This record gives sequence, C-alpha cells and structure tokens, in this order.
Amino acid sequence: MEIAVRTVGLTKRFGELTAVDHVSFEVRRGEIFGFLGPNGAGKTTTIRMLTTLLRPTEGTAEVWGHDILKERDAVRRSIGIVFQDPSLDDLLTGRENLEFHGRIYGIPKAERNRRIKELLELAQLSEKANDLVRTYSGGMRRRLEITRGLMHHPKVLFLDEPTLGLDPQTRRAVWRYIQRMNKDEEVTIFLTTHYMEEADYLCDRIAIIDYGKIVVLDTPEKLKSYIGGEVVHLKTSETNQKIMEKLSEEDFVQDIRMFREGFVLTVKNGQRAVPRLIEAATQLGVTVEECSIHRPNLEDVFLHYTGRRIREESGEKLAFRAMGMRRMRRR
Amino acid sequence: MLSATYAIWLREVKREIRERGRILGNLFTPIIWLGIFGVGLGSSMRFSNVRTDYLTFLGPGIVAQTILFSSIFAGVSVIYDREYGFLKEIMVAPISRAEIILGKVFGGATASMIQGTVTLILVLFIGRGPPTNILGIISALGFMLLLSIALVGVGLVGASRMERAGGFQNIMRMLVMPLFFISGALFPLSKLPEWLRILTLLNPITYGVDAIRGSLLGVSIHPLWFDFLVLSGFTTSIILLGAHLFKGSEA
Repeated sequence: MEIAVRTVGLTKRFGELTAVDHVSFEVRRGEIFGFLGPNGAGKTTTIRMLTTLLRPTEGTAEVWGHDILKERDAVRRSIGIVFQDPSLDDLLTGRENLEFHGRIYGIPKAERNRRIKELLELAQLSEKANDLVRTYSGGMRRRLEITRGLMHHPKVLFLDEPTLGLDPQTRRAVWRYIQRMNKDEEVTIFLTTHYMEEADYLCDRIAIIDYGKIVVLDTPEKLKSYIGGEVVHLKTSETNQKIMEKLSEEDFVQDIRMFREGFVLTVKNGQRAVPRLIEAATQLGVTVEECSIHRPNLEDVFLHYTGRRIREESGEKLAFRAMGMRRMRRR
Repeated sequence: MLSATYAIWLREVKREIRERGRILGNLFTPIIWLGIFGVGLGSSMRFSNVRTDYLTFLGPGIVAQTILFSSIFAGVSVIYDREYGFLKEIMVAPISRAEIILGKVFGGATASMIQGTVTLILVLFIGRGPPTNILGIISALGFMLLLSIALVGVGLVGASRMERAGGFQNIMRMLVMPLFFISGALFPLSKLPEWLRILTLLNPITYGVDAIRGSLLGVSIHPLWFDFLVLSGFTTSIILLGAHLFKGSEA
C-alpha cells in the first residue's frame, strides 16, 4: 500500500489542554481522506502539525515520505494548503494571487503561465481572472484558494473546513470541484469538516475524531453498516433510566441511548418497531411527542461512538459568525 | 532564491499603487505642513541661524516626514497581512525568512519612495530656495531610500511585537510623532538646549533629515558622509534585529 500521510502517536498539548492525543493513522495515495469531528476536536491542530506550521509535542508524522520535523522544506514542497480562514490578497486579482504563489514556489515563468491558464479553466474562473479578488463571491474565493494550493503540483492537498460558511448550493459546487481535482490532478486530499454530508459525499475514508482522539476510521459505508438496522428518534414527554431499560427489553432493539429530549434507538425493522415502541412507552405512562425513522447516517455513527451529537446547528452558528467576522474585518 | 523576494516586493508595490486613496491622502499631510505651517510660520518668522527662508528650510524636513510615516506603515503592514490571513500563504511556503524580510523591506521602501518622491517634487516646486543641481537631487533620493529601508525595518520590529493592527495607532502616537519633532525637520538644531540636542543626536531620523537638507540646500550640521555612516549602521542593525524577531513570530 502506497502511503501519502502517516502519523505515529501524534500529540499536541497547549498547556493543560491536549488538543491532539496520540493520533496514529495512514492516508493512502490518491484517496480523499476526511477528518470528521465537532469544532475543537483537534482537526485544525492536526493539519497545522502535518503542514509544518506547528511542532508536535510528541510523536511524529511523514508526508509523502518526508519527516515533518527533519525535512520541513521537502514536506512544504509536497503539499498544498487551503486554510480555514481566508488567505487571499483581495487587492490583487485572481491571476496575481496565483502568480504570487507560483513565484514563491519558484515555478519558472512559462510553466507558471501555462499552469495558471489550465487551473483557472478548471475552476471556471477564467473570466474573472483579471478582476480584484475583492469582487469575488465566497464560492469563487474558495475555488481560487483551492486552485492556488494546486499551483505547484502538490502530492497532498490539505483542506481545512473547505466549505465553512458557504451556502448549500455553493458548497455542492466546491465539492464537485474537489472531486474533479482529486481525479484530474491525481492529488491526494486530506480534509477536515464538521459537516456530516460533506464527509459522506466526498471521502473515500473517514476518521471520526473527538477530544483529540480518533474514535473510528473506515469508509462511510462501513461506518454506517456498523450501526446496522435503522435509527429511530423518539421525542418523549420525560426521560429516565427506567424507561430506557424497559424499552431496551424489546427484542428488536439493538441499541438505545438517552438524551435530554428523548431516545435514539437502533432497531431491526423501523416501521414495525415504532408502533410497538409507542405502545411500550404508553404503558409506562410516557407520551411520544415526535418520532422519526431513517437509515443510519454519519451523525448516528458519531453518536454511536461518542455518545454525543456533533451538533451541526452550533456549527452553522459558528460558520455564520465566521462570515460576520470576515465582513467586519474587511472594514 | 530571489524569485520569492521579487514576488513579495511586487505585491507590496502593486498594493501601494492600487490604494490610490492612500497616495492622495499621504500627499495631503505634506501640503498642510508646507502650505499652512510653513507659509504661516514663515510669514512672520525667520531663524537667525538659517540662511534660507523658513519654507525652504522646512521642505526637506517634510520630505523626510513623508518617508517616516509611509515606511513605518509599510513595515507594520505585516500585521495586516497576519490579520487578513495572507501571511499564512507566505509562511507555509518552502522559502527562508530572509527572503521574506528582504521582500518586505524593499517592497515597503519602494512604496515609501513613491510617496517621498511625490513630496520631493512638491518641495522643489514651492520652495524658493537656491535652484538645486541634479547631483543634489540624486543624493537626496539616495538618502531617502536609505532612510526608507531603515524605517521599514523599524516598522517590522514594531510589527513583530504587536498582536493587532490597532497597536499601530499607538506606535504612531508614542514613537513616530516625537521622533519627527526631534529630528530637526521643523527647526534648526544648532541652538538647542543641551538635553534636547542630545536627544536629537540619538534620533536616527535626524541624520536623514540633515542629509536630505544638505543634499538639496547645501547646508547641513554633519558632513554627508557622516550622515551616511550613521544611517547605514542603523539600517543594518535594525534589519538584522527585525529578521531575528520575525524568526520567532508565527503566522
């Protein structure tokens, strides 16, 4: 197996806080590999270490066969990065941002120009190439940043929350662009996200990370199949240990977890199970206020392994805040 | 090796030219100083120890002032790069800190020279001093460049110690204005009380003002070679210090 990124016991501590806790994993060449987890799980810190911007406290890593501590410049030449926060110069045009990048990576002029032309076409930015980045939409900026990250033919492209703060439609366009780059440019992609659908849609393999640790790592299909059956969400008038025990006695219940507002169960046959669950609840004097059945998604996987929700809604709020901040900073 | 330095230089120059408001805005300050302060004070006052009229005396000082403000600002602009995220793009590239510093210093100095030259032209036209020879102008431009590089260095040193761009306002108040006042730009230094004279001699900008005035008007406190030595020494040390501090800073 050809390895693009390998970490061994990678750890970063900030004072008391262990942001990344003995993380070991391998990214295969050519794949789209995702780090999925809530905000503050240690995703960005991992990227910062792998891209040589931050020294690990413990452990080590190799990127395309180069040690991140001993061969810093070789690592840097092998990678492209799209940071979570915007990093374009909006007083320069799109083309100038790419030219700048080409120059600091020492790409000769003829090749630079050819590459810029080719990549701008792929990103569908050719028409806007000579406009100031100031006039670009959020999605265009993102595509330009990805394009820039690819200028010097990196082997591995790191994308830190590539669609944070983008609207759903733009997000899809960025996804398709990432997929095309992965294929056409044959670049291995390492991305972090807290969006379930993003990881599900894009990634060949996903590592779920929580509190700085990898909880589970596999293909999205495998991860979902671990759950088995179907997932039922019950919103009930009250929740307590006794109700949970009672419900779990039903033979079709494979797994049950209790939350403040109700229960999440994994069952064999959802459509049959729901009436019986409601009946069981009624016998206990509990009212079922809402109920839904769906096939397992990555949120259920996350819930299953961590006992917590990834809290997408807080992610949305954060994204919104990040956008607001960006707007403010633009004066 | 020079490709990265060139890229950083080019970006600074492009940004400078594109911020048209900045060039006009920065021209406003010297016009006020020369047109109102210079004309106003000069209309009823003449220094006994200065041969020329006040406006002519003031001109070179205002050229130095333009350099002072725009150079320090250029150096401090690293903070804006950090705040807007662009610094990360530079810091993650496989290039050395020296290349980055060189690009920043020459880029900032070029931007500052554009401003300074505009002011110089203004001064040459409104000053009624002796017609300056070409050699004097070239010499003045040389000293302006040296002063620019030194002060971009000062800005970089300041930037390495500041977290937020808001700190720039404080630097302006705390550092730049006093340095300007004790640089000999506004009044001759030859009859100052001893304590103030010592302060002016410790101020590197004094030598820049003196050399530019010497080049343009032919009168200076120190010989030009002496000004040159002091300024070069200061420039070298401040750039090295800036490079050293920058090494430890993070994107």
